[in-house]
Amino acid sequence: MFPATRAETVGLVEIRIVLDIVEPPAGRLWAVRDPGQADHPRSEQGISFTGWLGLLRALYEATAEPGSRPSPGS
Amino acid sequence: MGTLAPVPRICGREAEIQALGEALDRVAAGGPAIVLVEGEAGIGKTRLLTQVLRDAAGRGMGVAAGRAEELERTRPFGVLAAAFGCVRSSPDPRRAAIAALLASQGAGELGPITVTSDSGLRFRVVDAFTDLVEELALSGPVVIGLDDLQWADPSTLLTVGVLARRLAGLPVGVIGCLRPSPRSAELDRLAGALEAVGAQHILLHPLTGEAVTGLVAQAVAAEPGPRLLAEVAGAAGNPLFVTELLGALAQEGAITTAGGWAEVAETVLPPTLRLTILRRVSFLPEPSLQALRSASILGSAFSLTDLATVTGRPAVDLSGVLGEAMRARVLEDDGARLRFRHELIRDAIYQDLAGSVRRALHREAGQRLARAGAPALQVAEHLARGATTGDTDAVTWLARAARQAAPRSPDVAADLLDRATGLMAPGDRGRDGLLAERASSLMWAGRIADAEAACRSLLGRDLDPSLENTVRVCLGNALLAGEPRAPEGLCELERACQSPLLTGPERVEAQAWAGFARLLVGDLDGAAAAAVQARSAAVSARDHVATSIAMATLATNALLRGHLPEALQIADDAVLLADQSPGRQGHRFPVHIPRGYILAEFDRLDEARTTIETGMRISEELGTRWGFAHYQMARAMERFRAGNWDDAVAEIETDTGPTGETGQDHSLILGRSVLALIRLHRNDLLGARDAAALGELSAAGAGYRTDWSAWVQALLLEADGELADALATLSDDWDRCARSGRALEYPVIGPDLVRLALAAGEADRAREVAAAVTHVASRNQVPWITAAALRCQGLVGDDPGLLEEAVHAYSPGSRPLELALTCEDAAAAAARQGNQERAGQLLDQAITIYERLDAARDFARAEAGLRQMGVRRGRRVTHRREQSGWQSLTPSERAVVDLVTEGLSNPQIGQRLYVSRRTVQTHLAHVFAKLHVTSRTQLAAEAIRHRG
Repeated sequence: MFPATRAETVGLVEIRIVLDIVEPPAGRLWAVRDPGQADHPRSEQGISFTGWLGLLRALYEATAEPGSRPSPGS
Repeated sequence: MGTLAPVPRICGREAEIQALGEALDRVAAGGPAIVLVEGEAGIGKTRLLTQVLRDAAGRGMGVAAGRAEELERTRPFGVLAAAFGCVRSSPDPRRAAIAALLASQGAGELGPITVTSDSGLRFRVVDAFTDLVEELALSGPVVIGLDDLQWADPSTLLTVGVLARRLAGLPVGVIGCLRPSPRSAELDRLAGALEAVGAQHILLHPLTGEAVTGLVAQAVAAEPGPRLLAEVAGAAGNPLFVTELLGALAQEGAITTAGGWAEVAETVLPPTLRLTILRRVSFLPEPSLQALRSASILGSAFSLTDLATVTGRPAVDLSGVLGEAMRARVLEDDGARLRFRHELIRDAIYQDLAGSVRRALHREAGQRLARAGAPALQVAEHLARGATTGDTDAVTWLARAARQAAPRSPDVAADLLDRATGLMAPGDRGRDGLLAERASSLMWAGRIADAEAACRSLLGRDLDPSLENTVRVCLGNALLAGEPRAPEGLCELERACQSPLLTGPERVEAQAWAGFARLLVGDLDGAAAAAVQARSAAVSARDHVATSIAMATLATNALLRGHLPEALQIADDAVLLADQSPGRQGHRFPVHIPRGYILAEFDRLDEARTTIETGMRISEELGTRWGFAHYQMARAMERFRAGNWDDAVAEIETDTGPTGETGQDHSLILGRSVLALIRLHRNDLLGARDAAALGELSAAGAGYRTDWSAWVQALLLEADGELADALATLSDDWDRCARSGRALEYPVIGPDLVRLALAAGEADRAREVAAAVTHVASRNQVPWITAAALRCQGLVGDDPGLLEEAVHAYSPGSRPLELALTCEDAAAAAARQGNQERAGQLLDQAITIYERLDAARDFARAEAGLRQMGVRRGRRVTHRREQSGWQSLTPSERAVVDLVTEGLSNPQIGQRLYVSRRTVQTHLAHVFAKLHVTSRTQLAAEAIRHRG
């Protein structure tokens, strides 16, 4: 659901999401700094979320704080 | 959060704004305007309504604005009460009185809802609102704006419909906004009612590309670039979607502005509106989001106090947390409560909660609100939303809320009980009881067919025996509401009476209704026997309503048998007992109606009018609407008898309003017959046939005075030259009356039957009929009945002397039509004996009466009779009354005009003229049509000009 421009602004980060429930979504996600890594580090529990709002906020947390990203084209 | 300015003006709705402006023009000119604005969520209805109401206020009009809330659909009259500021502390006594009515305890709150427990609050509140609007409108134009009607409670919808019917000539605008769905049956009924009175329907379509460009340009304060426009094109012309999308893009810093152009780096198809809203809201701090999630449980609008109650957090903390949401324009303060800026924003947050979480939050909210002493309706709503099957708490609160709502909104009660029973396990022993209450609520709501279906469904399975009779009584009443099915109703009531499981009070009630049902099916002996028994039991049990039912049955029974003095005595006693009953409960059954009919048969028309007025006033005070149609019909009969046919027609036309609201249509049968008679005498055979056909259709049963339907059919056949069929029809009618003992009809239909029988050479039949009428006359010292007997005898013997006596007997009475017809008969007999001079005088007398009645058919016949005799009338023949202009107004219409000119409201005029406000409205509608005016202001100006 995010614009493709987001990839330019957050750098090379892969988001992995495990969904327990689909709608509204609930589960955990991880930001994987090395996209080639096969699995998430066992030490990391990921960020739990419930609902789309929770997912959005988990994404912000895993990537960058809302509003702190440079604007497109900068 | 939020870098975009609010959009200052509406884009792409120029045509709609113009249409609404024209509606305001109509209101400003003194007339009504009703507009429905329909469109999907987010399409801009609210903004449009807000703007038109602001314009109205700017033009000096009074404005009342209300918005329905999804979670408050069960609050009776909630939208209107909020729109008009009806609170107990209001300095306006009218508003405070409405608030008091809404807060008052109804009988239904104290115990289970039964078919006779209706305290009638609903229609009192409806009338209070319509009176308030009318009085406000007499001081200046008023515009009522009601948003989100799809969530409005049924009582509000009913009131808007009633209001619309009574608006003619008043400077009142009603603008309602609604979504295409959900669409309740009540909303459908309202839409139909508004359409019937000429409401304008505006459909809001998606914005055009040009309008979207304008909207974006305003929001970003720059010319939108092609990629930005391509992005917002995904919002499909929904302005809320467009603005939410722009807001999200702006918050993400995705919009750049340079050189007067606003652009995004890349076009990405936007997700759904819901996700776009969440995308925007997600920028709020977590504590604000948590508070918003809790708030979404409370609905689109909520008080900080309620939010504090359900979250357990101090209001001061919450106000700080929610401040962020208000700055981001997710929430707004509407002065009384906090409100999500758009219902879809609340929906998005609410739907984002997992189902189990939502249920748990609702349940907790319900429990906390209950502990805090919140209204049962509010508690029940949350507990129901949080409940799963078998939740007894939720069921208990729903039932309590239903009983509380029932007096003001039986539809709501039925809905709540439906939800309660839906939560109960199929084997729950209490389920049938609530289903029985639901059936009674449906009866009160005028949803007769639904009530019948609910009763039949209960009776069709293994019903708790202790409830069977309650359900049968309810079913019996549902069937009695439509006269053709009265025999089935009687059957159910009799079955109930025979049950050994009946409690004492139930038996009394069932017996009383069963007696009344027998009357409706034409079984006078059975009705009398049942009513005597019921009266005795009811008096012993101090059941005042059942006493009234039984005594009204007995009085009507005696009336139909032609025992007028006895009938009047019983009716007098019934009124006295009802007057003396605690809280005048006895008047919950309209005992003044039979008394009014009886007095009219005595030709004591002034007293008849007074008793009908008194009964109507008491019924209004008690809110027992179901008798209104009968009162209206009783008054129509009195007007008809007195020769005030225009008034009679107005009463019959007015009758259809209350009938439609209550689902009771007994009175329509007689009304249609009277209408057909008037049209026939006025030579409108087509109209007469139409009315008669409807009357005949309704009169498939053998109910109260359904004989008139056959009488009219016979006269219509005669008018068509089908004399044999006319005689056969009337003869059958007579025989039916004879079999059932309805002797009251003898003097009504007897003279026509004698006339037709003599024309067909059936002298024996004519003599038999004349003898029967004479017998009725001998036991009633009533001039018109004596006159009818003399007329029959005179016709049989072709005796001018007897016919002259009949003319003489009629004269002091109040039955001009019968007098004129008898004059014709006497004239014919006198002419046959060579007394042309007397014949001419009698025909002249008849013609004078026909002129006054505007009875064109009779007028023409009498004039032809004169010509055949070679008799010239002694004075100049006047023409039939004008159809339009001041000369066309009836005396009643002129009286109404005079009082409108004095600035009186319809209820005030009604009180002054001793007619209902609805009849005043009917007269006014006729006046407007005849004078070609559309407002009271125009009418008053025209009246002053006319007086010169």
